Amino acid sequence: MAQVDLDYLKRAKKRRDVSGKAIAIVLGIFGLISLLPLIYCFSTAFKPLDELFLYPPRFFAMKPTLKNFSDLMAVTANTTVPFSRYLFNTVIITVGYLFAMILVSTMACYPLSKHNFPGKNIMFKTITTAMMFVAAATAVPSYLIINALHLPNTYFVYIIPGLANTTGVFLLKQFLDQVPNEIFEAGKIDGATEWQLYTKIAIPLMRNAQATIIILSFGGIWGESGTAATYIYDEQLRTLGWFMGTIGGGLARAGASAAASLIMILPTIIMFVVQQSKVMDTMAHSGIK
Amino acid sequence: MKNNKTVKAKKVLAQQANNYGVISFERKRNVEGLIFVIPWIIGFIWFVLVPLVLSVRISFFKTTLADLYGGSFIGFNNYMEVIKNPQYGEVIVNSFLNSLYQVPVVVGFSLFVAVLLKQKFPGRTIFRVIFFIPVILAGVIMTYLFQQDVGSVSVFSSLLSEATDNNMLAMIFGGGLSSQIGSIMWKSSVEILIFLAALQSVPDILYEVVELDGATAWESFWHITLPYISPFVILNAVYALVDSFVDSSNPVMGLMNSLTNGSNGEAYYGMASALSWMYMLMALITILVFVLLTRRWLK
Repeated sequence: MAQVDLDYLKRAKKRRDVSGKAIAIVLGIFGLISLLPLIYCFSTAFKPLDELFLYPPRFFAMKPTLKNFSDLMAVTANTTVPFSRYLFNTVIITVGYLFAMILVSTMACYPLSKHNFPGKNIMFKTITTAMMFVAAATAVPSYLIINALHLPNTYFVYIIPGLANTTGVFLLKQFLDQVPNEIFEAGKIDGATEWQLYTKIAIPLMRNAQATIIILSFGGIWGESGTAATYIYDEQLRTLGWFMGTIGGGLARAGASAAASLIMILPTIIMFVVQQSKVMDTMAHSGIK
Repeated sequence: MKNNKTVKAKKVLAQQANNYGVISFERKRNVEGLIFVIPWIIGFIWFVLVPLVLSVRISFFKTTLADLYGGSFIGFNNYMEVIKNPQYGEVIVNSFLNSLYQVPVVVGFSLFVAVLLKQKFPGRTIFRVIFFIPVILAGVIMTYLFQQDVGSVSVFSSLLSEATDNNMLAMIFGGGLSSQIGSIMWKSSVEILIFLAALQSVPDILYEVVELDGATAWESFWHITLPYISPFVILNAVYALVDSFVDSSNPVMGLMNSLTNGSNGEAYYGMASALSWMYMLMALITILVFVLLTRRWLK
């Protein structure tokens, strides 16, 4: 009797192993297709000029070269505004925006999750509805408002309009909902003020969610070029993303442009790989409830 | 019982506090909470709400770039012009149908992948990361790729051209389908995560019970998993619907941009606003109908 059971268990284990491999293969195929654009971006950056204009295009570089990168260096050496200035602007804007956005979003999500104030439900419904609205529909009025606030041609024009980030508040609130209220009540009983509850309890508990929002918005702000083109007249205040976009003009610079694209997406990928466990954790939590 | 008592006690306390003109602790706390939200609300009103309201106004006015606040009230003329133009109607209807048929594909595919990702198998973490990458890079990388593309050849079809030596592959992925598969996979990543989280919330004990009763994996999927995660199926369907409606590669979005950037000789802000509101309304009605239809199934 015991022998039979053992056999059954062995067979069951073997079946699980086989199906595990099958799953890995199926997902491997889908995963590979998912990664294609990324791989394509990498391989293009190393293609020599004649391969860039090959029709139909080849997926992998046949004679990989670093010439595109040296071309890019040559282009960046001959700009009216030094390359380092663009880089500096982008770093300032990215850090400033992410910091301010996280501050505003975490401050907003804390009462939304843990307090009861009049209009709270309406506000949360508005947030979820606003996530669906089309940016193109409000482009013109936004332009008028940004002008009326005298934001153009300052660093603030990159930072302020995006601060009321609906997705960020939504994710943070869902995450904070998972934290038991008792923790905050214990803090209150010990005499903590609201500000202390927020800085000492809410912020540290939301670390992972904050990392997620940073990663989700990092790519957008790091590669920022639309705002620079629309609202900035002073070349000194424009961004790296805008500059990289200007390289693309002309046949001779196609290689440099491909290299520039790779350089622009690399920081985002590195950020994600470093922080990926935090991101997965947040996304897993925000889906429930 | 106990809960009732505390509620009553709280009410009495609040009543007493009011009688003496004292602000209750609870209320004070809520007012303080409101202060935390204010910076965000200001930003939201200025940069989201006000533009939305203004765009409604613009859609009913005959406006020019020089005088966006002015212009004359022309009622529904902007809307009529959009409806009358046969070209616009065709684009809207096509992209609407396109969205409708994409939703079941995206939901089905992401559910399939999520179920697989939930199983135990070698390299599970790596696969979870791979399927999440599009969420982060979708906007950024796609923009760069489209900038670079020679002509209108997309990445996915360029891979196909490499595979044309192999007749079998070309037959399977034939025509426009190959690029569709790729873009659907990129669109499914958020849905995969939501499904994955939902699947993890199904109590394991349910599976153990039906396994003891001799149910196969197939049966337990239909009788345990699917009923349990049905709210998330609907959530994902709505999400996919919204996503495809506001996708920047959507031809309607292109139409709106071409109306505002003056490539038609003049910038028609009124018409662009009218078009986008009509489109939004269509999206909202579709979602509403969908939610109403599925509500019964949920219970």
